[in-house]
Amino acid sequence: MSAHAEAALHDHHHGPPTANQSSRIDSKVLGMFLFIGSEAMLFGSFFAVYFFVRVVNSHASSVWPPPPYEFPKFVAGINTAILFTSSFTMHWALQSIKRNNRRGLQAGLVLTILMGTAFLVTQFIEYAHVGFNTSDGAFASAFFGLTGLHGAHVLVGLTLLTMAAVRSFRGHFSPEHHHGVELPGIYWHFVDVMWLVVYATVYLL
Amino acid sequence: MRNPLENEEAAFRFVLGTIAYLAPIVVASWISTWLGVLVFVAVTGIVVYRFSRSAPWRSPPAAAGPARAAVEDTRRILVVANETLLGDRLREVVVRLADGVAEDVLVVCPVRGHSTGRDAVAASERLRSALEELRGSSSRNSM
Repeated sequence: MSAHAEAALHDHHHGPPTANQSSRIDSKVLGMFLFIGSEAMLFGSFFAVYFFVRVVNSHASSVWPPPPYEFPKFVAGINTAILFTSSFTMHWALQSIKRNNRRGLQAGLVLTILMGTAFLVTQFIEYAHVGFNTSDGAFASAFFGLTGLHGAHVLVGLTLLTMAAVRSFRGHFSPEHHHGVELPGIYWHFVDVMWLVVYATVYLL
Repeated sequence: MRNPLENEEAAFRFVLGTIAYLAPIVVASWISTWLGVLVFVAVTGIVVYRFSRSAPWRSPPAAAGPARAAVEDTRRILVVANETLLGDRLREVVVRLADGVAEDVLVVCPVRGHSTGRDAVAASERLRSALEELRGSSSRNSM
């Protein structure tokens, strides 16, 4: 009798029990968090290379980049403005779907993709006209390593955003269910932050 | 400082925060290298201080839930009923006993051992309905 009294206090549940969730963080966000954490460590290793080439190296020139080379700061500055603006359009896209504005979501995603593509194209043009390549010294390797690694992440971000854009045009997202946009949005902002750090440390400082 | 990867909004604010962090360092370094180092140390110190104040490893806040009175102020009421669980008379008695005190009501709906699964389902439904009625009767309760 007491056993049934206990059972009567609980909801009837069929199938395997719900998986235990010990973390207060949503599993999808936690996954993105761990992924970005590993990416931050990867960038950290490249920044360590840059630090040793520029600071620790006893033969390093006091001028950066070593003469006769120069970085295209203005072009990179334009690229920075493009990528920074794309974070605003990405944010606009998320805010739109939270307000059930599907057109805003689609427009925001398309604009973000266009800006990201413009960033990559500009970077390719910059590589073609920068005046040095990876065989011109350790500084060049550090430069191409950092910017190239970042460019690869922009490409991955564009792929994610393209998938999200296709789904948005198919009406897959709603104010309640838009994880497929939120997670690429977090990743895109991470890509923007990494570029700001790269631009500041490699080009400006 | 919130976790910047908690959601997209936090990540966007992190982008803006990164600009606010790097801009003074870059500008100061253009004026003088040592000024840039000084500003870097100062700004980094501020960021670390704010992060430590809202560190994720701090104890999580107490889970929100109905306020509970101290043990000695709480009246514990045990209700054991089956078919009579949804009766008005039982509800009146429970409400009268809980009036004016902080109550902790435990409702048990026993089902006979040899009864069918339908009886258990019906008892579960009666239990759920009774709890809803009792919660609606009392503004402060735990069941």
